[in-house]
Amino acid sequence: MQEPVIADTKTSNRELLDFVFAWPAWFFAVGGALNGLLVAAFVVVILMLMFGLQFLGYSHPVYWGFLIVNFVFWIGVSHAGIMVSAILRLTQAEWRRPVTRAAEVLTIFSLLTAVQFPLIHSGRPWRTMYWTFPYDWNRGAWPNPRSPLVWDPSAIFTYLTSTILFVYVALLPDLALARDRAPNPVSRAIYGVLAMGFRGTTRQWRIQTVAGLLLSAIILPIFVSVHSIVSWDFAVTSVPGWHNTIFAPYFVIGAVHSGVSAVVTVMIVMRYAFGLKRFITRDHIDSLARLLIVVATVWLFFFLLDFFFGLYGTEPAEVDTWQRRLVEPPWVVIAITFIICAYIIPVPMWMFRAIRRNFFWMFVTTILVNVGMWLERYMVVVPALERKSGLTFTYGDYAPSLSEFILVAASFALVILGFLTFSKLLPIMPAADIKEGQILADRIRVGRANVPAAMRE
Amino acid sequence: MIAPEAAGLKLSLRPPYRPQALNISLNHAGIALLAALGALGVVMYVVKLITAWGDRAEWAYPTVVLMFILSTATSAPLIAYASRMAKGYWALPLRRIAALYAAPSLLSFVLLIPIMASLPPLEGRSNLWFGFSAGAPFLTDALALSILLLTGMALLWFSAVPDLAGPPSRVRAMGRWQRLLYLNWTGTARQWKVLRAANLTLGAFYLMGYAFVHMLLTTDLGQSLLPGWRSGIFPVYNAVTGIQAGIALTLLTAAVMRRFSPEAGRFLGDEQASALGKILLAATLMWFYFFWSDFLLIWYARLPSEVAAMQVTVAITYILPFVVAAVLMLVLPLGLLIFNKVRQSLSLIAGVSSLIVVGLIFDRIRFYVAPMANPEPFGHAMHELPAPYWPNALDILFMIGFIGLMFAVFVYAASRIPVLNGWEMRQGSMLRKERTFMKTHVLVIGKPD
Repeated sequence: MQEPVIADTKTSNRELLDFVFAWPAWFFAVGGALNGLLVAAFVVVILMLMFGLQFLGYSHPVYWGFLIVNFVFWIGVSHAGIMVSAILRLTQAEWRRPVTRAAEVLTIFSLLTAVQFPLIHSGRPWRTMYWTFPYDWNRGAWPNPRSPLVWDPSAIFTYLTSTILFVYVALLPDLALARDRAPNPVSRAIYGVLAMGFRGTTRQWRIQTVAGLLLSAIILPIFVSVHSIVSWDFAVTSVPGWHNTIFAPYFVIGAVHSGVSAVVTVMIVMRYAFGLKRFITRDHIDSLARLLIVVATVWLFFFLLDFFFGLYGTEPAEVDTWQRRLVEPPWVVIAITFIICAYIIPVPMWMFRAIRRNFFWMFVTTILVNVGMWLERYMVVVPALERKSGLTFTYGDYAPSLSEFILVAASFALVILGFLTFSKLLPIMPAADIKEGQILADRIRVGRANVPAAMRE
Repeated sequence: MIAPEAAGLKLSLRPPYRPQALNISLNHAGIALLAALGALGVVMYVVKLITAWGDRAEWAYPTVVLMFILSTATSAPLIAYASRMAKGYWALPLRRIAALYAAPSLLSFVLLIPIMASLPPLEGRSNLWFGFSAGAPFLTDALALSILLLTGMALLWFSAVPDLAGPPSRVRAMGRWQRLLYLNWTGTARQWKVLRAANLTLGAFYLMGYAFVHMLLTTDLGQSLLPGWRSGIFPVYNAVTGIQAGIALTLLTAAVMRRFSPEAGRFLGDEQASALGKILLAATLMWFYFFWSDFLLIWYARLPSEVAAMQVTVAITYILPFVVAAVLMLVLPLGLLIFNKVRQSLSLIAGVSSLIVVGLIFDRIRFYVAPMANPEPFGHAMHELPAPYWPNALDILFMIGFIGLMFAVFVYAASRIPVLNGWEMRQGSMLRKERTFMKTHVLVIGKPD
């Protein structure tokens, strides 16, 4: 396991920067299609601003539908970067090296996409300024720090800032590499400015390494806090089905499950699309699949705790919500689909080494996980609002509109487009990190076996 | 004394390393004290059985001891499993110490029986059994705990057999039953493969059992007896703080072993403290995270029934144990463990660990005394906060004696089974080499599939 990629520095540099300086035809075709979806979403948002939220099909009592589900989903996917990068860096897991950059970039674009949805959902996006920033001191209108509307942007923007810093610090040596190999003076100048004078001196390497480690440690509490705060948007209310103390860790572990699965999907696509077969190997997806088995099982345990403690007090409203989620159509179909997709199919399959090391099956199972996790968020959010309550007297009804489907599709387009653009401009594989791994790679002979090894300080 | 890391590297040399069990004698003051405490624990247990059978309030503090054992001795073997699964080379000398705690964790079953017998019927109070009538919660909890404990013992025994069996000729000379007990161990390639698979499978099963038993016992002995208390995070809080205390207990034991066992002392050093210290720091932060996730929701939603339960365990009735627990399990450890110097010294980290282990007792007092001593466990909300139930002399003697008994059983187990797992350490040493890299010496760690 963890067989190092042995290649000379020149070959590694060329292969890792190949896509940055090349212009394959498929890039324009895919980019064009994704931009088309974004234009459609833009039209939907303009129409929504003109006609109000009812254009999206929202009516009492269900005002939180696809948009909020999508917000939670993308915040969840954004946990991939830190889970994979920071934790594996701190634990010195050698197999992390080719994985980290893609995971971090996925974090940034997922977060940027996620924040669009509460803004759109507010109906009048500019008004969110009133709730989150003290916009007019003369009026004495201050945001309410007790409101999750203030917690959310604080947490998300702190996470976004620190993730960008984290990625940027790790990028410095690669920016210098791109600067030195840029084919024309303009790009050389741009990469030069971005590289901030990185020349690879001992002092610069030391500072870059220490900064990376410190940021890894600092970013971890932020990573945990972000999805906890998103969960508290729901759980601090007394809405039956939402008010459960397990929500914070349940959301966090669900986010990790969804995010790490997304990283595996992205890596497999990258392997073929960017010609990185020598860098993304079966060992990497095998290691990630093992991690996913543990994460998925903890997630399932927390889901069961949510379920058991929902019913625990036998409060009629709670029981009613769970009954709606798990027994009544169409929710029963969604519930069965989500649990099958997120756990029952993938985890038993990952138990087999042959599956864990098979790119096709890992691609399919990780896609399934994210289908399941999206449906899980849908099941958490909507049925709890549809319930019969004292003032509505009857069940609400919610059916997603075409506009919402377009917005959801556009969110995927936005993340993919962001990812593609990044990989076109900057190395999507941490070249310096990979080369360091090759230098630190060693072998130990035990009897007749030649065991892969790595140096430790 | 040779540096632990260097001693570890030299293990691959001939002759093969064979660890020894502890040589204990009652002449040693520490052993004599443990034996006396153990005897006190047995006596107090018998006294409780005779005088307080069926009286729930009388079993409140024994419940604290039960949950303490469940959160320390039962969680310690997880370190052996987790480090084995993650191929943590640094934990090799700690694995047997951690696994040995499976032996004293058997005491939790002895405590569980009279405690379960004192519980009121499920009807009329919130519970996790939802009308399941096949012996719940008595038989179900006892069955779940016994399976967990047996798995722990199996994990200990399977990992100890290569050290205990000795050369193949010795095993072949044994009687049939004895050979069976030693798994007919002659060290064939197939046996090693089975042993590896068994260790990993049993470990995974143990981890799941640990979480499941925490879910059952924290609910049946805690939440379910205090009307209005409904917290899905509570079982996880117990399991996670249990892991924190399990790590602390293992580090504490390692420090004691280094002091009193010259053989173990050769291999236990700051490498273990440093690696496990980081995990202890993370677990300490988790204490806060799980506490806060619980506290914030209840404070924010302000549902009267939930607020009352929080007032009992945190704010009013048991505020004193809460403050002590928070200081000993969070404030002091966090303040100390952030310093590299503390984390990288086994002696210093043992001091921090002892704070955590003591803090855990207070943490369990605030959670389990009120429910067990609550005279009105029925209904879905408390009408008034119960008065605090402080321990009497008998309770204090019981707690001291039974916790002493736990350590006495550990020492006895360590005198039968070597405290170092020689085979794993020797395998590990084959995968560790010291090399010169540029101008420095580096450690090269092999990680086979």
